[in-house]
Amino acid sequence: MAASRFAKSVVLALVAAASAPALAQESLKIGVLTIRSGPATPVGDDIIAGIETATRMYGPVLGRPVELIVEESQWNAQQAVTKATKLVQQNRVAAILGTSTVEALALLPVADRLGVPIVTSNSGSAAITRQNCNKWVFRTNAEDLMSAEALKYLLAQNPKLAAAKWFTLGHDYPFSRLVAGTVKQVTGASYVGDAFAPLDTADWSPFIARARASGATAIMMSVTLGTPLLQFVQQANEFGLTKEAQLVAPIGLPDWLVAKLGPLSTNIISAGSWAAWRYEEVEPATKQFNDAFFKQHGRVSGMQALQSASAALMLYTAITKAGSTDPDAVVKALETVDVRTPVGPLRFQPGGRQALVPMFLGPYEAVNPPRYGAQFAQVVEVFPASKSLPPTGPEVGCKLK
Amino acid sequence: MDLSFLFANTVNGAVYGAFLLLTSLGLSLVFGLGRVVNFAHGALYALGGYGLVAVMQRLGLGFWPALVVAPLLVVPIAIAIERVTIQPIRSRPEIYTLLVTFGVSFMVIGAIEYVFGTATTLVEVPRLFAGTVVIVGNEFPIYRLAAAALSLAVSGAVFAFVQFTPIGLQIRAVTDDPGMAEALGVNTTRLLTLVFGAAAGLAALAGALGAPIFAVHPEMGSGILLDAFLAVILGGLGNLPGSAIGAFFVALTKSIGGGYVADWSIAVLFVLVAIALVFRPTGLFGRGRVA
Amino acid sequence: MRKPAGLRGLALPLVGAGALAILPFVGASPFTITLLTESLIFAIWAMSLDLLVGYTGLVSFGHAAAFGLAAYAAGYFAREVTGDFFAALLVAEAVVVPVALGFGFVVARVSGIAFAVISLCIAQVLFTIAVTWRAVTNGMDGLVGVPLPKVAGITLASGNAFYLLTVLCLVAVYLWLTRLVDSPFGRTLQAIRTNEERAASIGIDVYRHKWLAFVLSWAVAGLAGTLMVFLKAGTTPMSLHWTESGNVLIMTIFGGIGTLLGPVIGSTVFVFVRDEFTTRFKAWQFVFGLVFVVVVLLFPTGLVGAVNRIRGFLWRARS
Repeated sequence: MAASRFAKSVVLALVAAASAPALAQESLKIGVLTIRSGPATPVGDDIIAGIETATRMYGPVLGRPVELIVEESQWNAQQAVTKATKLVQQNRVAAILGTSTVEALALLPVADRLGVPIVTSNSGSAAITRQNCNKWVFRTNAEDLMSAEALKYLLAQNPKLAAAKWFTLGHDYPFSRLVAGTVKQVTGASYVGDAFAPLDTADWSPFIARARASGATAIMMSVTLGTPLLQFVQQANEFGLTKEAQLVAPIGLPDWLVAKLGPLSTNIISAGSWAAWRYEEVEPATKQFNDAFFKQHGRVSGMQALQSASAALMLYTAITKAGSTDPDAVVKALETVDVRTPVGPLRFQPGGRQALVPMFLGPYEAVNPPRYGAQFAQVVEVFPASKSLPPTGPEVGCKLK
Repeated sequence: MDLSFLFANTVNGAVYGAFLLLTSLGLSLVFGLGRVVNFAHGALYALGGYGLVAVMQRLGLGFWPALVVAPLLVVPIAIAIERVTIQPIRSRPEIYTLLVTFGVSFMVIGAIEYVFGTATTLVEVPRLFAGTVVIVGNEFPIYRLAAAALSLAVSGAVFAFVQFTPIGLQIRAVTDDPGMAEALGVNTTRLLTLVFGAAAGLAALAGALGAPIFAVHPEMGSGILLDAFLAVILGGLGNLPGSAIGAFFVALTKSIGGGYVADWSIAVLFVLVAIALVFRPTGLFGRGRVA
Repeated sequence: MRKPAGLRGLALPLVGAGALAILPFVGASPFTITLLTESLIFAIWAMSLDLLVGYTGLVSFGHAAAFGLAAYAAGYFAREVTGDFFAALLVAEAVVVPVALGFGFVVARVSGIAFAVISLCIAQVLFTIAVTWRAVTNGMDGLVGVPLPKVAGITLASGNAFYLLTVLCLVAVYLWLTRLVDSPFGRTLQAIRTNEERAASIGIDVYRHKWLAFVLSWAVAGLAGTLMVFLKAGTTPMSLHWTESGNVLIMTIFGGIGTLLGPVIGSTVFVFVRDEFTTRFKAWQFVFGLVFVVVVLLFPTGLVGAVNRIRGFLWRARS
């Protein structure tokens, strides 16, 4: 793990992008703000890896090599604001990619001060593109209320799940509460309880005991996608909970996590992943991306990588369409961009900032023979945006000034 | 929620308590002996976990041999840390050793991330103890019970050592009255180095022992450091039996609290600790040295 | 023997303030000003901690409590009522001071490690409340949508304007605190720090002094929290977390406790170094820890002490 790994990748991006004949042009700087330390680091790694591959595939932009400048948010709102300011003021980036809910929420109120397009591919909080929507902040992944619709569909589709006794178990995030609320609403009387653990919980035994005591046969795991989820599944398995209850992941699992869980992952069903590499069975853009990603990084492209690549592609397409990096022009171009990405054809809601993006439901199963190095992966059923999201911004409460 | 649920949480709490005790003993000893607040204790715990993984993967050892080897690898590292960063500043106010060990913990975690990467490694439960056992209608993983038993055994050995051996006598003497002990010929500097190394070994053992339960990742020590800290404060710094009670108190509060009031369980723990300290600032069982 | 404060005491802060104030206009980059604004807010916070640690001898592991509480109070008020800075500050203090009076009542009874740990517990309880009282605090997602601050009706839209406000606050706090620590009250605090028992034996009401010092330090921290919530246009429960308390303690001690200038320098160095390291090194934690250890080992009196030592060394070398 070289200390200058990201510097290396910056150079790679430059070299790859410069393979087209380029004059001595100033590089086009794009900022990436994400997590580089702590329990969610693998998420940040995937986000960056996806953007790197996308840059290699779709760059240069406007004839200029793309230079990715990565800043670490430490998953902390205040640091996120400082680093985003640094990207804009010091590095003069044309736009910012990456960001999860923490960073996106932190940047929303200062977006006008930053004055560049921000395309997030990893944040769940619905308010970002609904009542709190902002001219500068676009999102390519499905938001929490869309995920709620996918969950309803999953339950309607799956009689065993519909008849199960549901329990929500996760960290104390607003998302967890939202998920719990949705499950409660959809399952009605079959909702038997929930437990929201403090954020740095490493020992899940009291919460597992609670789920058990309530007689749960289906558990919605709104646990942070990282080390905590790994610990939880392992411990749930050790306590024998996985024999009694079906584990459901509200937005699916990143593939590095699936790889670590190995056979344990087959105990889990995704209620709506933000992306899935096996969509390649249907969508050529996904296959193209999977190949390029595997070639560059030596592993299968996971959910966060596919999403961040889609965001990068939409951004690069918009910049090309605008003909310049002028922020207002790029924002205008983003509003009408319509392009085939690794998560399918994608465009943003008219009058809104949310991409009309599908979700991918299904259980996890073994992949025989392994593909792209993955031995386990999600079976993919597509849940289109038309079923989860009203088609225009104003319809979801977004009022753009 | 019924008695069965309470029972499950109590057992889980006791299991974590035993584990926390093993982790806290070193912290308590080092403070009692040298008034050193070792903020790097969590990082040393993490090193134990990584030592286990490295030894199992690189040397191909099984879980149990690795469990013995890993702490032994951490001890010299700890001794070096003590010699270089703590010994030179022992005469300064206590806050400085806390600060320097804070810096050391960053260094150790940073080094772990550099060498091993930031990913989490799951460690499989050794086959001998895989599976669950049913006690009073509740399922418990056998490994957790085994790890708790081992923690208690080792902790007991430490207690016995401190209570019945000559070095243990020295430790108790210095903890009680360092000036007097020095005057009577105890080499406190060397004793502290040794005890620091041993404390690190205990923490590392705990980290390795806990790996199949809590997984191995760079930040694995920070949560348990806070718990250990609270346990030791409650029990009275330098007071080993007090630490035992403190450890079980913290563990049971977290476990039973977690079972009943999930999101508030952490707050409950802190409120109880604060109240305890207001009425007994030297710890519930602290004696002698004023905090 | 202390020299009378007088005019000499004013020279440094005023010159320093002047130097800071003209920076945006003599070519400092916008991002430097941004970082400096953050540093100076931390400086105010660190000075308030120094009052407790350096002058009263009470080490707090939970100073984020005052900071975060003020941030939430001021931010909530600014979002719901008005972004007027001084009104928000007033509201923040109206929340922070009574809470400090209450907690101080309990915590002033103890010292040393007990004080440190109880202060940690207080902060963690507030943290848990911030996370779980979702109706008001919006839970882990935090308070968003704090508007730009207004002073006397004028919106401070530019980074420079807000920076100047921060400089003003810093200077005001610095001047006030230097007067305070030199006053009889301040001297008494230092006597308590030196030896609490002896101070009590000569008739000092130790409890009341500790209590007041606690409240004052929280009040000053409240100003820092208010400034920060406007700078970041919001706050999250993490502003109450023990890791933040750890940061401000580091900044204070790093800079040099018992010298008000120390925390100012410590905060600035901390913010700039952290920013540079987190950008430059993937393994920034290791480098950060290393620098830290080196400074603690070699410069026991912090950076201010180091500067003094170097000055003394040069002076001796010259003669």
